[in-house]
Parts: sequence; C-alpha cells; structure tokens
Amino acid sequence: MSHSPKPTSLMNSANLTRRSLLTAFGSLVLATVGFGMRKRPAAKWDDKFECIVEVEIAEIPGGRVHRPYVAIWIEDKDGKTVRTLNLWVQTTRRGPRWIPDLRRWYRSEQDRKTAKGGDLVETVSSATRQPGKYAMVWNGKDDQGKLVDQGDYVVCIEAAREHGTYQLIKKSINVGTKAFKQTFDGNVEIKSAGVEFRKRK
Amino acid sequence: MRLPFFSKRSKSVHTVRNYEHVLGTSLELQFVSETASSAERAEQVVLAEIERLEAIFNRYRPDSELNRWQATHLQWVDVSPELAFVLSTAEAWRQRSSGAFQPTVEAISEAWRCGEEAPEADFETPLWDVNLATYQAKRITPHPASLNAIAKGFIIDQAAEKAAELDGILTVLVNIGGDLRHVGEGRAPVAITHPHHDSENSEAASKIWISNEGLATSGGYRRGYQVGGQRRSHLIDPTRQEAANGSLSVSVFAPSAMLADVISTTVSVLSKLDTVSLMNESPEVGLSVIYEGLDSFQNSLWQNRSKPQI
Repeated sequence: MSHSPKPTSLMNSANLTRRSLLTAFGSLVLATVGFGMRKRPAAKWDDKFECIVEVEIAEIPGGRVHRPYVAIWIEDKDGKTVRTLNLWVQTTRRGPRWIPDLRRWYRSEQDRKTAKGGDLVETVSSATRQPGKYAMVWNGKDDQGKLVDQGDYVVCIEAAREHGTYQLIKKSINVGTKAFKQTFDGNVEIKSAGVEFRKRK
Repeated sequence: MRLPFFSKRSKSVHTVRNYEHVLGTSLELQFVSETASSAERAEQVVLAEIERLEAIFNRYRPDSELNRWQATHLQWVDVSPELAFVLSTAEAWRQRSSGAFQPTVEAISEAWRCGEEAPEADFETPLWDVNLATYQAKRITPHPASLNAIAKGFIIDQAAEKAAELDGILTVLVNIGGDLRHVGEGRAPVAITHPHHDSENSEAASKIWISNEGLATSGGYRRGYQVGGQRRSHLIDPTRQEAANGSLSVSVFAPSAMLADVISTTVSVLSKLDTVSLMNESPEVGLSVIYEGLDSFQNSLWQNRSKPQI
C-alpha cells in the first residue's frame, strides 16, 4: 500500500510533463503560424504580370466550320471558379439549350444571364484575325474584380459542338513572379491551347 | 395595349452565327428577323454569296477568275461584272491616293514572304483598263496583283445586301475577320481592338456604332513577315516599298465595307498630312488612327459617335 502513491505521483508527474510539453508545443505552433501570418502574408498577384490563355479551334478538312461553344475559366486548387474569361454561346432563343452542354460552366453559373434578345450584340473590328485562333487575358482579378493571391490555379477550357463532342481541358499552373509558357494537349474540338504568364505590355 | 414598336420588337428574333476558315479568317453573322427560319435562309444566302465571290477573287485558287484574267496581258478580255467593278474601283483609288493604295504591292509582299529583298517595281503606269459598259478588262501591269485589300470589303457588302433583301429580315451584320457591314434597322455597336491588347476580353481601344455602313480596321499587329530576323508589317508603303510603321491600327467607317477597306489600307501607309487631306475629300468617312506610342487621331465624324477607351 505504501507503494501506491508512487506510481500515482509518477503518473501525475508524467501527465504534467506531457501537458506542459503539449502546451509548449501548442504555443510554438501558434507562434509560428502567428509569425507566418504577420511576416509572410500570401503574396498578391503581381500587377505587372498578366496571363494569356490561347486556344486554337480544331480545323476540319474542307474549310468552313462552325465555331464550337467554348467556355474558358480559372479555378482555384479546390475547384472553385475564380474568374470566367470567356464564354461563347448562341444568343438566339435557341441558345440556352446549348449552355447545358458546357456542363461545368452551367453548374457554377446557372444564374448568370447570357442571352440578350432583340438588338445586335457588340461586334469587334480588328486587324484581320487568324482563323480559329483566340487569346483571352487574365489580369489576376477574380469575378468580383479583386486581385487574387499568387499560387496554384487551374485553367479550364471547355468546348462543345452541336452534333459534335464535349471536351474539357484542365491544367494546373503556378502563378508567381516569373514569366512562363505552358502548352496543353489538344482534343477533337480544340487543336491546341496554352498559357503564357508574362509581363504586361 | 401594346405600342406598335414593342409588338414588332417582341416578335423579332436575334441570331448570331460564328464560323472559322472563311476567306482565310473568321466569320460572324448577326440577324434580326421576324422568324428564326428567315434568319436561317439569310445565313445560307450569305454563305453562298461568299463562296460565289471567293471563286472570282481568291488569289490562292489557280482557277479563280482573277487568276485566269492575270494570265492574260495587254488584251481586252470579257470579265464578270463583279471583277470589272472591283478592278475599276481599285485603279481609281490607286490614282486618287497617288499610289498609296497599290494592288501590285504583292510583288513586294511575296518577296518578303520568301524572306528576300523586294524587287524594283514600276508603280507609275496604270495597272489595267476597264470598260464598265461592256465588262471587259485589259491587264497592263506585268506584276501580279492582289485585290485582297478591296475584294474582302466588296464580298462583305454583297453578302450583307443580298441577305437584307430577303423577306422577314430586318437587320444584317456580316463581320469577316474584323471588317464588317451593317444593313437594315437600328445600329451595330462595334468595339475596336487595342493593338497592344488584342485578347478577346481585353478592354477595347474605342467603341463606336455604325448604321447602314461598313467598318474596317488595318494593322500589322496580327500578321507580318520575318525578313532577316526583323518582323515587318503586312501593310506596305508602296511609294517607299517598305513596311508602313507609323500607325499601329487604322479604323474607318464609310458608306460601304469596300470603301472602309480601301481607305483603312490606304491610311495605314499615308503620312498624317496626306491623311488629313484625304479625309477632307471624304465627308462620309469616319477615321480613327492609333500611332506608335499610342498617340491617336480621330476625325470629327468618328468623335461624334465614339466613346474612347484609351
């Protein structure tokens, strides 16, 4: 019986030690996190840079071809849409029928209205364009106009064609402060695609 | 009770169609029509008209009427009314612009494409003689000529006008690779691409509207040739036989797409002074030029319609 307090006291001292260790470790972790948060906030997109997403529509032998419906957007690494860069859908009354073909876009943007009935929509005059080649710029802002953090993002290029196929390209990019170029493999609808992260002109 | 305007509007259908690989570029069509089926008919008419006229003017098709005519020299030859009209307009503008508009510039252009120095060319004598009463043309120049800088506008006009004649069509917009024509009711809103920021979703250099007019933009920022490692504009100053580097982008609206096409190409190689005098002679023409360093010039007709963005 006289032994009984010993193990208890040993136990207590062990418990105390463990607790104090945990506490010490905990405060160390907090200190580190706190230090990190104070000293190294996630760096914002460097405003001197821009990201160009290039897409070339697949050519079909025999010349003239309908442009497929294409959506291009940026997701963060958790799959949340950060910025929609481009969306080509029909703007006729028949249009909305085709939006569901762009499956991923439709899921996250169902509420957005795209079709303006009635009058002509804005058209573009430019130096003669190369057939099928389109470039979209991402200036580092999200759909709310706020500059995003540097880090990992996913470029998504979705294409669907009436009586054709549905294709989706998803490629990760890492946005920092260094220019880079990346080429993506194409598919039946998109001949080639790629991104160029570069200093703004 | 509805006002007549609204009841008419509520019945109209707006259609947009986009194609790639039409005349070596892209095609956008817009129609406002009474029914969806009239827009479908109009689309077919536009596509058929482009194909028909391409068979006349295409420089890359050996069997095009233009190329068959170019195989002749110093003899009167029967040609189609379309070829006669475009040849005659091209020569008139060559004279009016003192050679700044120059269909035989392709002799230089082809040498550049092969990466060679340009041949000496005689730009003084008339290129050809055209009889518009008998639809005959006599080729005088020994140099190959391209009508690209005028024929595209002509094709756009013809296609848009034919579609607009159809029953049930209220408005037609034909845009081929950045040159366009509006025929019918209302206005067409147009964004002019910024020569330094030409992505689809970039801010426009300026915004403007046209109504029953054509609009064309010339600029070297999307095409060019490499000669000795130096990129050159595809727009060439024929009087100096070198690339026109003063302007980055020239946009013109005019009563037709053909005129807009010719004038934008011409202004791309003209000095500012010559540009001003050309514009003074062209009261129905709106002009916007963006020069290197992003200085810009807009005549008053353009200013009255536009919202500049830069």
